[in-house]
Amino acid sequence: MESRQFRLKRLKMQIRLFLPLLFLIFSLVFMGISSFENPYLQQFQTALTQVVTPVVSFVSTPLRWGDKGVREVKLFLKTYQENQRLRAENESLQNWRNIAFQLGSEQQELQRLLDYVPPKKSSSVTARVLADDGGHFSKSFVVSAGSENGVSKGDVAMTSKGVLGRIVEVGPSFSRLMLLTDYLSRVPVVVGNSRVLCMLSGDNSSSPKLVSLPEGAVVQKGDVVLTSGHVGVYPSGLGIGVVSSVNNGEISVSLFESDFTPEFVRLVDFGLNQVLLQEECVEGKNP
Amino acid sequence: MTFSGTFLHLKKGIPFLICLFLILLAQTPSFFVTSVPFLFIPIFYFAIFRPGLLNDYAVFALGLFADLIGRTPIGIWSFVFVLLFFVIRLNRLFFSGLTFDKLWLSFAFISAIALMLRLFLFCIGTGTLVSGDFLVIQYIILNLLYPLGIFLCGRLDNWIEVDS
Repeated sequence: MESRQFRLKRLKMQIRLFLPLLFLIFSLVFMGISSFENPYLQQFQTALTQVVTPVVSFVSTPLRWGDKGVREVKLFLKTYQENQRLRAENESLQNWRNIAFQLGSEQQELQRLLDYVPPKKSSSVTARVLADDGGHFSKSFVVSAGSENGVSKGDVAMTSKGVLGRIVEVGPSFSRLMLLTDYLSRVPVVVGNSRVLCMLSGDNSSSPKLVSLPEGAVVQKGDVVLTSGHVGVYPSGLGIGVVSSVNNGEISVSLFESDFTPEFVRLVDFGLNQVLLQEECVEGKNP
Repeated sequence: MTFSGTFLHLKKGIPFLICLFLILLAQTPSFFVTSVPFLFIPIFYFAIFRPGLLNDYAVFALGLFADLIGRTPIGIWSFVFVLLFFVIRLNRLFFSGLTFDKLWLSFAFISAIALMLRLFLFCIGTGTLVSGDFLVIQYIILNLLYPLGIFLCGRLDNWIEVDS
C-alpha cells in the first residue's frame, strides 16, 4: 500500500516537473496555430471581448477621471499660449474659408458640367473608447458601439483632427478599431501635390511609414498624406498626416491625430464596407 | 467541507483573481501611456515565496487570457509567464535567501530578459520587426512599482497564511 502511494507521489512529482515544459510546448503550438487566420478563434475572441469589456470599462472609470483631470490641469496651465495659438489659427482659417468657398463653387460648376455622380452620403455614430487592446504590441481600441448601434466592419474611425483607423471587428454592443499605427494596418494613400500613390504601413510606432512608392517618386518633408480611395476601404481625400522625415528611403508620416488616447471617436460609415463583406464571401466566411 | 475550509480555498484563489484583474487593468486606456506588465511582480513573488498559491496551470491560463484579450498571437504571454515562473521556482532557494535590494536587482534582470523575450516572440509570431523603444518605459515603470507590488503581495500572502 505504502509503495503504491510512494509511486503515485513520485509520478505526481514527475508530472509536476514536466508540466512547465508541456505548457511551453503548448504555447509554441498555439503561436503556430494563431499565425493562421482562424474564424473560430476570432469568434471566440469577440465573445470574450463582449464579456470582458464591461469589466474593463468599470475598472477604467477612475483612471478616466484621473486622465481627464490631468488633461484639464494641463489645459488650464497652457491657457494663455493656447489662446494665442487659436487667434493665429483663426486668422489662417478665415483665409482658408474664403478659398474653400471659391473652390466649392468651382467644384459644383465642374461637377454639373461633367455629370459627376457624387458618393453616397455618410452616416456616423460617436462612441467612447473603453479599452486599449494589446498595449504596444497591437494598436487597437475597443469602443462602446456595436452592430446594435449600426456600426459595421470597415467603418472609419475619426476624431476632429483626422483619421484614427477603421473598425475590424464588431460585436453586439462593442467594436474594435485598428489604428493606422498598428503593425497590420495598410492604407493606400496619395502624397503631396504630385499625388504619388503608395501605401501607409503601420509599424506600432507613432509614425507609420510610406512603402511601395513607384520608382523615381519624389516625396518631401511637409507633403500632405491623404487616403487614395483605392481598394475601397477608405474613401478618397481623407486627411491622414504630413511627411515628417525622409531618411535613407525611410519615409515617416506624422499623423494629424497624434493623440492615441482619445476619449471619444466618431465611427463613419461611408458606404464602402461592402468591399470587406464581398472579400469575406470570397474567402468563404460568414458575411 | 466546513465553511471555514471553503472560505480558505476561496482565499487561496485570490492571487489568481488579482492577476486576472491586473491583466484587465493593463487594457484600460490610461494616461500611463504604456501598458505595464504588472503581472511580472506577483509571478515573481509567488514563485519564490508561495508557489502553492499560483501554480503552473494558473500561470499558463493567465498567459492565454492575456493573449486572447490583448489580440497578440496566442501563446506569447503564456510562454513568457510559464518560463518566468518555472525558472524562478527552480531557483527559489537561491532567491529566498537574498536581501530585498538584491532581490530587486534580480527582478530587474529577470524582467528585462522577459520583456525582450516577449518582443522577440512577437516579432517571430507576426513576422514583423517592431521597434522596442517602448520597452524602456515599461521596464522603468515596472521596476519602480516593484517595492509597492512586493509589499502588497506580502500583505496578501500574510492574510491568506493567517487562516491556513
